Amino acid sequence: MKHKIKVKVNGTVYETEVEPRLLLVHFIRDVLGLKGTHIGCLGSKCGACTVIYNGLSVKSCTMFAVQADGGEILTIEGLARNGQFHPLQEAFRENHALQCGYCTPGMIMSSYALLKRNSKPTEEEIRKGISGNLCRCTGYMNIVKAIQNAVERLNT
Amino acid sequence: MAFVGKSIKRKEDLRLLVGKGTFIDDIEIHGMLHAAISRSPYAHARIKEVDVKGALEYQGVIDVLTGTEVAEMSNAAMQMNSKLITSNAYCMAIEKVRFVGEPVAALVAADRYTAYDALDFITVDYEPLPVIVDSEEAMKSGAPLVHEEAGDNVAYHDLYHYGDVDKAFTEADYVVKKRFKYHRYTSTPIETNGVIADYNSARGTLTIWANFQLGGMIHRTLSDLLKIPENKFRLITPDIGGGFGNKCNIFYMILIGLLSIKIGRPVKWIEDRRENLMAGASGSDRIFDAEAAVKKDGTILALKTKIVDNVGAYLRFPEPIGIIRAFQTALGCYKIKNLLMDIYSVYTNELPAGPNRGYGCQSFYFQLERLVDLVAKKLGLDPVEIRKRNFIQPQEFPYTTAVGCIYDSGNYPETLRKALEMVDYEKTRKEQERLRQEKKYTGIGITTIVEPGASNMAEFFIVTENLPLSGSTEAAKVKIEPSGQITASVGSCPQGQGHETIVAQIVADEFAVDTDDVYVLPGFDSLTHPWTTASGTWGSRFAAVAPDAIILACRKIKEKIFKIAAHILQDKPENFEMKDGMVQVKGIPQKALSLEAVCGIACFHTLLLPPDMEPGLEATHVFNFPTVNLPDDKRRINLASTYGNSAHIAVVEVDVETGQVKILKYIVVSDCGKMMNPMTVDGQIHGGVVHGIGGGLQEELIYDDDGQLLTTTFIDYLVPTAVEAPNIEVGHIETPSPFNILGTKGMGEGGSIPSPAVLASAVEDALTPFGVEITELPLKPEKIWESVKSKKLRWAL
Amino acid sequence: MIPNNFEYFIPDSIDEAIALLTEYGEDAKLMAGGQSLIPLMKLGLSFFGNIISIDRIPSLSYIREIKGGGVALGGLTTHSMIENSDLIKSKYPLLAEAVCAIADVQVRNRGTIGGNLCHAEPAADYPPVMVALDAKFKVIGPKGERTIKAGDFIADIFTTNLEYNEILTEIILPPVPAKTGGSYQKLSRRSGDFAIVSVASVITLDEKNNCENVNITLGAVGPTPIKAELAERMLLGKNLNEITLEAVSEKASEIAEPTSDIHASEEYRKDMIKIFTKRCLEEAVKRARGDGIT
Repeated sequence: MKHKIKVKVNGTVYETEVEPRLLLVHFIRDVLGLKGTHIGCLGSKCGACTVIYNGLSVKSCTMFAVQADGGEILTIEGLARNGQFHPLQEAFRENHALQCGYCTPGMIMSSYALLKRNSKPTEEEIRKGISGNLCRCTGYMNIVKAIQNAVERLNT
Repeated sequence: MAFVGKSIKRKEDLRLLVGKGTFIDDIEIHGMLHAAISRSPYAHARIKEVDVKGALEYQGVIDVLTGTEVAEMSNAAMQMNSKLITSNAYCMAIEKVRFVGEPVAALVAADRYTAYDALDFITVDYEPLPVIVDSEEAMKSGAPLVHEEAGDNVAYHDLYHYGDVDKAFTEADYVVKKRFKYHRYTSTPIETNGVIADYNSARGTLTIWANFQLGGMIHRTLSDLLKIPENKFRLITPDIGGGFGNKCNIFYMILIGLLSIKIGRPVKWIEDRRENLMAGASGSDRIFDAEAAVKKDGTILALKTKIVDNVGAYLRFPEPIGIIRAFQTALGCYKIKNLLMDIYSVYTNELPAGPNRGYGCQSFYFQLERLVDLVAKKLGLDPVEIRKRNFIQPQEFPYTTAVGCIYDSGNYPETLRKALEMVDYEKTRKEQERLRQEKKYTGIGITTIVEPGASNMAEFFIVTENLPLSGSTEAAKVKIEPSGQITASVGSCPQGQGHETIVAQIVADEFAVDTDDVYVLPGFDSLTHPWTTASGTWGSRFAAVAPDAIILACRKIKEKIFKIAAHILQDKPENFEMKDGMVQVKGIPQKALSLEAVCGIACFHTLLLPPDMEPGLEATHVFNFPTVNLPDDKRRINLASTYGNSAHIAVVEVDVETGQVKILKYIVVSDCGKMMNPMTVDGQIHGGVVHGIGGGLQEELIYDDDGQLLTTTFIDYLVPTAVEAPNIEVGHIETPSPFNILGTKGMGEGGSIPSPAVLASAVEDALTPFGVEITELPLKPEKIWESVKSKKLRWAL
Repeated sequence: MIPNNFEYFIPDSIDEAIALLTEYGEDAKLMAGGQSLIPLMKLGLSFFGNIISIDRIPSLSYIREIKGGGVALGGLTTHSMIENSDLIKSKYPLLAEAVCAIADVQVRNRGTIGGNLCHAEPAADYPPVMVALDAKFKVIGPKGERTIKAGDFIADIFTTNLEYNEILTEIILPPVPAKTGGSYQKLSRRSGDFAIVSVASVITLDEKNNCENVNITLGAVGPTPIKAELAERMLLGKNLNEITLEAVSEKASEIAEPTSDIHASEEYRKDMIKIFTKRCLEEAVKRARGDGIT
């Protein structure tokens, strides 16, 4: 039996009916057409599917869309405002913190959540904070640098 | 040069950072259906019957494809095993399955969830057969045969002898002998494999989108196997979420292509992670029985090695190149003049092996560098000293190795010296001594390697004359649009290496414009991009061969531009240069035309062109690396184009109670010739090193005796997270290659090649008081714990 | 890797949830954060026709001090809430240590303490900590409310002593006496992975630094958390100068029943439990001697 859900995504409210088993990541990508959130493992390990749900970072492959009913989601598409990069996006670019770009949306959303709860993390806290996001291209060093750079940008 | 050599910010980032990349699963074609693949649960079994009735009746299922149909509709891929006549490789098992996860049928449904559900309704009747997973056991007579027609499980065997190894061994003062085992692991790009195929029956054309690394290289093969004329086959690679060699599997493109041909509608298939680990790609596991012949003064005269390579269930293209490729740098940085390699590629009921970042080199270096360390120990020499005594010296370049490979340039002593300086070697050794007194065990590992770039396609030709391939080519096309804007394209299939940016840097420098003025076609499209039969992004080739193709294409156009300007401004073409977007006489800015004006003549007002000049401003150039050659009568051959080098030093601490390894410091000094974009070079090194650390410490594809893969998810297959990855200090030396215009060398794999070996070296060094020898990987804490426990502490501290 | 189809229920109250569990019996499963359940469903290892989502029940997510000492946590309290709770960090540092070791931030934002305990994964982080703290669990079913001691909660691998239609609603942590220290130590291959071995210990000292009370619970070395009672008795009443933690750890490891898997063998785990018990006790003692907070 399908369930009606109402979800706000990047500021827009969507109302639709979904199968209970529809994963939130498939809802975001296939129903809403927001392809920026990626699937890397579907097994809750790689974090490529990370979005912000009700202010907290979550793996959208490990949630059903029905669980998000009434909630508010921020995806990578919602981060830049009026064509302007968020300081995290700028910092990622400046510091070459992405190569293939596949893990990047999830990595940025995790970083966004990290800086929301801890505005001046240590390197150790950064690495632990993104430990739920796997990257095969960068070796993480430039990602850590980018987050540290974003801290500076956000604090000025 | 305004741009080449600088860390220019990447063009690709602008779309990737906002989630607007176009990856394979982002592409939707009207009328597209979704495929799911039914796979064998057995490692070895005869297929008695494939019953698809239930699946065909399942609501939402459109059609099914079975092995019988595959055999009719497609041609089998050749395995490079001259013994095989009939048991060739299809995209699906036909009569027998040979590894867990091998496709046995596929279905297509309206949506992916229905496709997955319907898989339960394909029932296959299997007759299990005895399984063989150990490569040495597989070589014994009486072992279960993976391919009966081959008569045994040896997929490929050859003996390569360079120099005179026997003579060298008689002259040796010492022989150091050791067995080494290298394990199976993979690269797991975060994006799995994916294919969309769209057959247009009215035109007889097939378009395939795939996140595939070998675009041009495989174009002809795919058209042959799919029975689609090559000029009606279009292959497109969109943004690719990482490749690392793991996206070289041709079979999914065939399978999904056949589905679309059968149904006449677009079909999409996206691999899930379990399928990727089970049936995607991995490096092979390899056993080396190696011997080094050594003189008292430390000179290594010869290397003799028997190699048993577990290639899995099929010699899947491009195997056995995983072995041959490593010949490019089999002797590393050393002047070893005699080499004997007795090579066996062996079938087992495991995943067919294939490229895995470093492709064959990392295991060869594990053997070589560990052996060099053992030689050092035997002679009582420091591992630095033994290397210095055997290095090829800077004045000896270009240097031809015993194999025939022409190392273009390098300064190995300087690379090592700089690395030692960065780690403060003397101080670190003293600190190590001090810590040992406190029962803290730190170790220093040192490896020095040569990194090959852009393979000579004749590496296939050495294996079999059925593949007459040779050369190391790349194609580039540059066009100046009638409006004066510049478009460039190249035959690579980038997966994050930043080619769009680097190509723009090169072109911008040639035309003295800004990189923002150059549009580089993203990805690869066989219809719109230039390409050769070596094209793609694999084997660290871009920097070795692409820049010359691009530059020479630009210069063909510049030649025309200068002739046009000379004709209009009444001067000699050789007096002109490009400056600030203008075509001007050198030193006389008033005597100039804008590029737009030149285009106006070339494209619109064509009667003003010099006599006999072809209108338009576009050019293609195909570059063939000048030093690659064909094998001589002794099978000596230059197997790669460029040869960079690097030194890695790792400082580790081993917790002898638990066996855990902590990396305290990791140093890389890299020489990849001229760096076009240093920022991207460092990025490649970081990623490669962390991958090698994963392979060295914790990544492993583990099979049980029934051929079942036990590491089928990221819970059990241990990709390093940001917590395990260390900070890496990178230094650079630039010894440009004399054989291409910019002096650039391929370097994408260099980070991942020595890193497992350097960690082994460091751990062994840390455990010196215990006399532990590391000859196998990964460096699992339990293995280290076991080794320590089995030895007594050598001396009281 | 797609879950099976199921009917989905969102009860507003505990009573409604219990009624649904009673109605659908074996074909029903409670879902809190889903961080254990959903991956199993995707791997095809868990098939339930009816999923009862309780994460909207308002009264089940809290961390509050109990009058007279101790702290109560609602069953739906997320790992993140516990991780960020100053109350937990100050009063029960070993619980704060354990929760940080669970998976990663994203999982901790959704996963709940109740869900984790009811899943009863042998290598999970909460169970040994709960036993070491002598926690009690409040459970509600159709017959009403009852309390189960933490040590009696998990029966076997992935099996608790809950009735099929009971819900874990509250975790009660007892008050912490003065001069008490606790620690949680875990060995895993990577950050956030399941434990290869884990140990939770709580020790209370008297003014003379004699061991007044001690709890040593081993995790991931048996189907349930294992209280190392003989090892505890070695320490109980003793002055810490009289007995080596080495000997106590050796004793503790004797009761471990580890199995072998691809990540570690039985022998390795047996030795590691000894090493980690020692490290855990050393830390607990240090903290007990310090400012007397667990």
